Amino acid sequence: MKRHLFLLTICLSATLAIQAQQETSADYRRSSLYSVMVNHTDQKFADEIKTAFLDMEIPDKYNDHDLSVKVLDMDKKLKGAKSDRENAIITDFLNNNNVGSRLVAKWFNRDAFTGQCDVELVKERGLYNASEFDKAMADRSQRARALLEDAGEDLIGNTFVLVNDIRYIDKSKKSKGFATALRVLGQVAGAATGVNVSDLTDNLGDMIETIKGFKVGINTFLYQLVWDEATSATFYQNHFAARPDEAKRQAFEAGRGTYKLKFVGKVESKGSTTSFMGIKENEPQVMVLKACTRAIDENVADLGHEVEAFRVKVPLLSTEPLTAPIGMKEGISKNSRFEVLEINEDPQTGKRTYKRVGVIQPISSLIWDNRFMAVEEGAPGATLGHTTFKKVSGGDFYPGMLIREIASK
Amino acid sequence: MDKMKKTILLSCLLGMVGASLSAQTLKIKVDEKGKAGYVNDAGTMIVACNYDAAYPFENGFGKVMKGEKFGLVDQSGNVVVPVKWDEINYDEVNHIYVVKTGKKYGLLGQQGQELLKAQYSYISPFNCYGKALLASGGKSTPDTNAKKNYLVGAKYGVLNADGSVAIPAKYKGLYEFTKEIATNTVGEGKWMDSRKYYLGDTLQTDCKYVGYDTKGWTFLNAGILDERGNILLKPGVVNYAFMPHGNMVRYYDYVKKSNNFNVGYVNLQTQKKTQMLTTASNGTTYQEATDFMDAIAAVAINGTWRFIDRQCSEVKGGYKKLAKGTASNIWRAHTAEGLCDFFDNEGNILFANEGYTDAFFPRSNKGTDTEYLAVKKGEKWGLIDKKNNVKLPFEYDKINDSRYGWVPVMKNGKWGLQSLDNEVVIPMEYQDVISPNSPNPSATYVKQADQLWHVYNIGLKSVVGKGYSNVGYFNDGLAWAHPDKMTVTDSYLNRALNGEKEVVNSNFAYVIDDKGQEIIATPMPIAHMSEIYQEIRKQGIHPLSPNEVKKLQLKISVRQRHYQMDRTIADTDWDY
Repeated sequence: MKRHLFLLTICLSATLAIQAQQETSADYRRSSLYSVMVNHTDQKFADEIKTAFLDMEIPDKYNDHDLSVKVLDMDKKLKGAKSDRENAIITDFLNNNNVGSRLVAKWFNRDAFTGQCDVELVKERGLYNASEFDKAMADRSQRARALLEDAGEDLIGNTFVLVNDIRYIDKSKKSKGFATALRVLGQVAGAATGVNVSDLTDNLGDMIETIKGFKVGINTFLYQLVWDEATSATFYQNHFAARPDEAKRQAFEAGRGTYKLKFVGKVESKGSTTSFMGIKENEPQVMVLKACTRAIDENVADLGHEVEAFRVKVPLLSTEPLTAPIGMKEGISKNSRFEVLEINEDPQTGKRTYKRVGVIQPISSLIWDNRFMAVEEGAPGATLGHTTFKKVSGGDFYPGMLIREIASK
Repeated sequence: MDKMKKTILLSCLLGMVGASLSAQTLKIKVDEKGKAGYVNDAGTMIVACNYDAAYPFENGFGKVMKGEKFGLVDQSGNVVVPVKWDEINYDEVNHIYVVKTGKKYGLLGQQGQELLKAQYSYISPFNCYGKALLASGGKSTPDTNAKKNYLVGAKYGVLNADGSVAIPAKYKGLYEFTKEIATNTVGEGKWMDSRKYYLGDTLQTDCKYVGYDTKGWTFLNAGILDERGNILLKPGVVNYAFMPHGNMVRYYDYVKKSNNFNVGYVNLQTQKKTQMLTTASNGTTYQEATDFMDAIAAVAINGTWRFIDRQCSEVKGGYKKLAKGTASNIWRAHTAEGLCDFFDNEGNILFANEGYTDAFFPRSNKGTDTEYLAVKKGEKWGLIDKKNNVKLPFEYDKINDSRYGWVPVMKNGKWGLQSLDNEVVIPMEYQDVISPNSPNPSATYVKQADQLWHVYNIGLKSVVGKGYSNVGYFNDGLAWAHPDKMTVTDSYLNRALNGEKEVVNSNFAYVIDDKGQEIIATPMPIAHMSEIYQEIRKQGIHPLSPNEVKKLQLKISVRQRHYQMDRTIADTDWDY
């Protein structure tokens, strides 16, 4: 009897442990992201790359702050793309199209026809107590002002634009590997379409030109919405309308230039080859999606290393052991260091502050490989579900505390 | 609990655990040297990393590659199919593998067992009927016009998805019955098509019958095989053969001297060829004779129709006009006196001498109540079933086909809707009425004196809202409706909504609800209506504000819109 109960317990425990690993907390504030691509219509696979980009989701550690324009065409190379400096063509596009004002308008769900705004998205992303927030706003109390200040600093001011300049890297090779790859893609192209493999030109099958896979090079430019005291004051005083207000609507339209974006950084992907492992032969478009997603994720992680405001904060899932839902996709390596942050909320004003209470470091053999399609690829660490850390310094930690990387890799 | 029961309980528990473990699909593992194998969920190596590549498990097997050859491994790590094939392609519908070594194709079964030896020059993908084209010999040749390859000089056959050869690959000409000739009131009839078989194309039919010959140029004078490759009709017996029906083949033989066709039938059991009539080849619509429908066919000789049996003898004749309901399989034949006799496909008279002078057949069997037939007696129409029982009395000036139990009826030039229980659903007060397309509709449409379609709410029993020149069926309370004189601006956004094509007015419409309320009073693409309805329902059905409409238009067109980097984009293309 005892032996039977013991075995039953093991079965149930295994089930519960698996379930626990799959749960991650969504209850933390994220930065907001608008991602757009520069599509080079002069290059091979422009359509496939555009399709892959449109299929990509905003990285899960950020809020989706996309606008309705996602694809910008160029029929030549982007001048200055290789430089680390701000790119005049991109900045001109963002300024000429008043992108900053549109990001602000999205925060407040502004109706373009009536000028009416609301704060529902602020409440939702700020994780505020909804009824308390509404009451404070209705009373127009000191608390309301403080809540909006808090939202401004921690949310609206952490709105970013990613401009991804994507180019296909043509690395045709005549080698045994090449011949093998052609035979592999022949199973995709030849059997399915009857096209003579050696006659392929601008065909999807052409893309797998090395045994390793499809390559893209992506230059990503990062801009941040400027939300300082002057800007927020202008908005709340002159442009925010709780009800339809033609005067305020017009004032906002005339004042779109008030809302600016500042260039904060630029990175270039390494152009590493993406393995076709894990991709079914009759889905070559998935190869394009994988290559583009991996490259953009890599750039987002690199930008996080360079730009503190863009760095992700995620909650600790557990303290014994120390685990968090972050991994290689966010650029974690064995050399990464993370500060543990305690969240404090002022009961009077509702303002949140973060205080460092310790430092932790990933255990190198327990780093989660959460890159796109890592599981299908069979990558080591792909099924961990979280990264495990060890304490470097600090006192007691508890689940829900946030961690944020403090050292570059 | 006694010992036996405890043992059973423990066995069940362990069995459940065991079953869940074995159901796990192995995952690809790549080692430091870049070699691939598979591990289970616990990370235990099941298939050693000895391969150059490994593919995701499918059908319980993983495809592995070494050098330039492929094989299959199972979930225990056993090599089920040796790594010797140049290609292995899994057909996930039929659960088989089409394999290739050198230039030869073969077939493996679901467990990797050989079903068909690799000795064929080509096996096409299997079609939805489980048939594939099988080829022997021939040379792959590019067709520059079609930008595809095809086999020149091959001999063709048909392969079943279980690996059995339906028709041996020994015919230079293999022709499917795909060409429809003369869709008409008395039955269509299909001819053979002598198209090229491009690599990658599938067969288009179930190959119950195929044409064949030894030349491979054209289906003229071709013979017919059945699905097992048995010869039903030898080549050269007729010039043009229709697809067999009821063991009979309708044929047309061209007579050069007179430029006429001799038309008749070949009985496939007796091989007797009987000519029934002659018709001019110029301008023929191939409606002088029908294919056999089970036991009978109809032929028109000197303007009079007669029914014949498989011996080509007359069963009944003297009819001036003939029609057949393809959905109901009922024939209607008009006598010289203008009365109708009704037959089934066996030639049995369903009802005759009832004084019926006309009939209206159900137009399709999608939602149509094919059990019922609208018939005319004297000057009035009624609805009867196939046993001649009256469902709706003979008091109407016109009746259309019953759909989902709703019957459009007309009196004194006014249309309404009756139920099959003869209850008034819509009173006969309208220029026209559209039958609902579901059994429990909330609304449909009536045409009023303004010649526009108006919503008729069935629950409210009244017309609601405005009139529209064209409308779509209601879909859970929402429908598209095209206002009269609606124009669609030729803007970039509208072209994007129209699939990046020039704006066509008729491709756009408003969205209304079943109370006649305009939910979207802006032209929206009809091709995207399902997506639009979904978005509307997400927010609760209510008239959308201009801002909500704009955001919806931009959302559904995001994949079709792209802009030059150096241009300023109009505010109309931004959602904020």
